[in-house]
Amino acid sequence: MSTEDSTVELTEIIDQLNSLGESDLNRLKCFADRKMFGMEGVLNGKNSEDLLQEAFSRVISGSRKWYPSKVNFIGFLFGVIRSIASEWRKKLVEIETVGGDNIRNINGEFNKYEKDIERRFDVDRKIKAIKELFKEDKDALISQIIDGRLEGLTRSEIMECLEISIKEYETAMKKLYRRCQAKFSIGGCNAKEI
Amino acid sequence: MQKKYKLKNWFGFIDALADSILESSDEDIYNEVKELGENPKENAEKVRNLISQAIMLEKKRKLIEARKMYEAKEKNSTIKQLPIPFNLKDKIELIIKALTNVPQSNKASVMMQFRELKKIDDIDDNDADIIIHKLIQLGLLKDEDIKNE
Repeated sequence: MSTEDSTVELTEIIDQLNSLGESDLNRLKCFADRKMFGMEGVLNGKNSEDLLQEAFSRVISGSRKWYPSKVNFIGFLFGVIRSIASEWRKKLVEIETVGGDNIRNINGEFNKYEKDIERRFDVDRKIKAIKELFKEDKDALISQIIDGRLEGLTRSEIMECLEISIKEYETAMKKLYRRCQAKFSIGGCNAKEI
Repeated sequence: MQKKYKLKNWFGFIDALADSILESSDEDIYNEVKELGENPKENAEKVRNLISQAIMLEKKRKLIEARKMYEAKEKNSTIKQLPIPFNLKDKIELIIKALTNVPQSNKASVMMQFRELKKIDDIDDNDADIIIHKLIQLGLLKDEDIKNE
């Protein structure tokens, strides 16, 4: 085993991967499914399994190093998946910006690409379809959470604004997910139905 | 006017959905998988297969890397051991000299190593390199002998 600040040997990484239990493996898959929700056809046909495979490859090859003193192994894996998903999103942006018209504005953001992807990706319609699901709810909590997330607020900011506990937030997210899942097969990554 | 949603709004939304998985209990995860009509055991198996594939690919990559390193090392050592380009005649002279200098007590065993040696006139440049290499391995030729040539 390593010292406190060092990483671990490949054999230990393999042992850790091989000792992941059924619930951890399902959790990883669900996480990857949701990270890739609605992205099919946009990232060169990549899906949630590609995301998981890429994460495992990077961990095993050592291109992503695990520091056991900083994070447990499963937490480390979630971090790797998260960073690859974000990398792919950035690449998506770069691919779309090849061409002379797409010049960064004063804030360093791309202007034209966003419009192109948003149109092709039909972002606005997808989001409105999800919001529509909760429009008639007597309890406005889920709609408020969706609005908060869409505005870029973090979980703790939303909790603070709405004065709700983690448990209430997570219960609402569960309902949100289940309703979306029933309507749009979110877990199956079939966002085309939206 | 109604707000128009952008890509970053979408990413924020799916990130929130994904992050809520981290807070879910095992039971919730299992329930969700089942509600999707999937089997948690089969899902786990799928992910295990992805892990196995990744491990196999990494081992393959390391093998290829090791082979490349070995080949490069071999190439380098041959180049180092035979640093001076000299002609076939010089090489043959070097071989004869090395074989002549083998002590009588060792001669039989050394010659066994070269039992497939062609007639000296039939040795070509490539044969000569191989023999010199072998003589070096046997300690019958030293770097200085080659350099002196």
